[in-house]
Amino acid sequence: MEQNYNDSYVIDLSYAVTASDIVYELSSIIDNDRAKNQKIVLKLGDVDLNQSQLLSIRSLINSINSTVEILETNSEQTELAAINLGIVVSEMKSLEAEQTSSVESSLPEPTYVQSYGYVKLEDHLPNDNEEDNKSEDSVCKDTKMSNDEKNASVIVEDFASKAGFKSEDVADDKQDVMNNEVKNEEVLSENIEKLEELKQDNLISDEKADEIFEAKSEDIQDALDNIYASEVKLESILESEVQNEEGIISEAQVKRAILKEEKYTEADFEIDHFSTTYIKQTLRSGQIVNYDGNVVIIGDCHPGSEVIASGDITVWGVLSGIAHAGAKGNERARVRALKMNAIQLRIANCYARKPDGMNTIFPERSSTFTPEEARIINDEIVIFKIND
Amino acid sequence: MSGRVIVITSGKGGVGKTTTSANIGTALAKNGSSVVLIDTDIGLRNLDLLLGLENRIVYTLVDVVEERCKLKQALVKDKRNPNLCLLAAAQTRDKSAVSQDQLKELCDELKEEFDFVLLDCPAGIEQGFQNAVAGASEAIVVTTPEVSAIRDADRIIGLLQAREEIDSYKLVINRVRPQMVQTNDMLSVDDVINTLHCDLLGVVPDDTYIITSTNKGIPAVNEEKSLAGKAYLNIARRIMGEDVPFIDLDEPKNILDKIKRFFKSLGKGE
Repeated sequence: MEQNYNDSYVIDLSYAVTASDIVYELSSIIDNDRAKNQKIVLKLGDVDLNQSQLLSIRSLINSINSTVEILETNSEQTELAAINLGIVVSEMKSLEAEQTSSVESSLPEPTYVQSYGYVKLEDHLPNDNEEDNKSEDSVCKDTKMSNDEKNASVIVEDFASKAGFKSEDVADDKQDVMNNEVKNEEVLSENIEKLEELKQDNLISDEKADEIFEAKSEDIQDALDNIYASEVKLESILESEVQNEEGIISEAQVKRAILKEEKYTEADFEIDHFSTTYIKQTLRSGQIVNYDGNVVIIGDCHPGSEVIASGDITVWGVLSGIAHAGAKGNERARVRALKMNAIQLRIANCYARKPDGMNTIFPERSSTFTPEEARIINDEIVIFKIND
Repeated sequence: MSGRVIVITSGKGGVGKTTTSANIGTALAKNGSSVVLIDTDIGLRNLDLLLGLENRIVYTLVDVVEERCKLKQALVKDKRNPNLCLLAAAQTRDKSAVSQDQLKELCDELKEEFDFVLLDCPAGIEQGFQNAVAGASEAIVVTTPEVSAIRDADRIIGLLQAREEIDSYKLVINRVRPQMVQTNDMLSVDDVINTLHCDLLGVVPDDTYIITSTNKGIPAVNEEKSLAGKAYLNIARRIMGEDVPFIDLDEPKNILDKIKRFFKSLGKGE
């Protein structure tokens, strides 16, 4: 998988199929002392990576004092992104043939372990991000690299502002989601064009750029967190609830970091065959339910309690604690509750947290509940009202 | 760089250890120091609520100790102040989940990167207290002007003196009501110091805003009007070595009080 030649350190990830495979493999490599303080040659296969993904991979490597020298890829998109980031792209086919042909035959076929699961969910990586921010702040002068990083920050910001839509719309018609995605991509490309223009005209002064960057750094940090965080593609879901005369309306603002195609495998339908456990009590702070299957709780889940299940979670009451459905990576798992007030929602590898503004620890009791269901749509946790 | 590790303890519960930790931590961070707050109250964590960071916690102190995540992954950055980090306690475990040696190791690691490591100690003198004190070199003892709290603080000071690694310990008197002190219904600051024979770090007046701030998840030092917030800011400056005079809590608020005070002083003079 890796070998030394010349003075560079080669990481061969050409067999990786998705961006998450790359991050997973890289995360195991960074613990390797031999990879530290090296010039890294990264071999990528057919994977399409966008600029922000590549940026995060680069900062991952920078965090062990190594630098990405050369990148090899079959994907045009990755190539473009790498050029934008100032990484040298080269065809090393001949070198590869010389160096690896003898080695490869003796090496066993690489096997992957999908790093899904509760423990692997990573949200906070202040280490890498801090370094990112520092380097970005200090480098933000004239170099091409810093400009690109500004690009990235603005793009993330734009996703945050443009991608917000009401959950009801999604519930009505999934096509809307697809439309939104298309729009987002259009906006993204527009943004890049605009920024290119601005860059050329030197309209962005250094100070202004710094200001913009500081303002957006939290967004980009969040986005980077999630890219690192072993396949967590969802940026965050902000759900706010407004009490009006008719009842409770939930409004979800969805931030998106990366898009990924939906895949249907046999594992997706496993949930139907899971065993189900019933818990007829109120879960209080500090209590934890961990079950390999579906969980039904007849009662409330108070803040500070945790429910972890490899299948669905259904709460016949108020869900105010942490719920993690599909803990073994099943993205078809869902969380249902009569009242959704969860402090954190996790489904498979996605993560969403309650917005900061809402500080109602115990929701108001009302005579009517609006049952809600959370599930993954395009790598985001979306909360739907169940009206009928 | 080696930071200072300070444990905030009291013995008795409910005197304001966690509030003091959150406010001193925030105040120190506001003054420009890098601060990490560690909640050692495993199983009964509250510090995250006071800072309004509950929804961001993914990994906890126990996860770090049991090596399920890297230390930096578990540090939750504060919403308002980038200098401030929180290492939350696990809610689903108990005090026996960590040992003294593990916390000592953790503090040694953290003090290399932060100016201040503040440990919020649980109530009691059992394992939770022993764990929290293990890594610290300084202590802040929080008490209220009540006989029971002072008795427990005295016990804690005794235990701290017995530990060689604690170089200094100072007293914060919380929830002082100047008006009750004036009418002799509450022990005065001097009474408390005379009982405990301990250096005073600060006096914090009883302030209703503390309740509001706890519910909002915003420490009182962020609110300029709060008298308690001011007191905590002064305490932070004293920790950093400045010589800050104590706030005059007896200052009369209206003219009537001023007149009363004037006549009282006349009476004393005779």
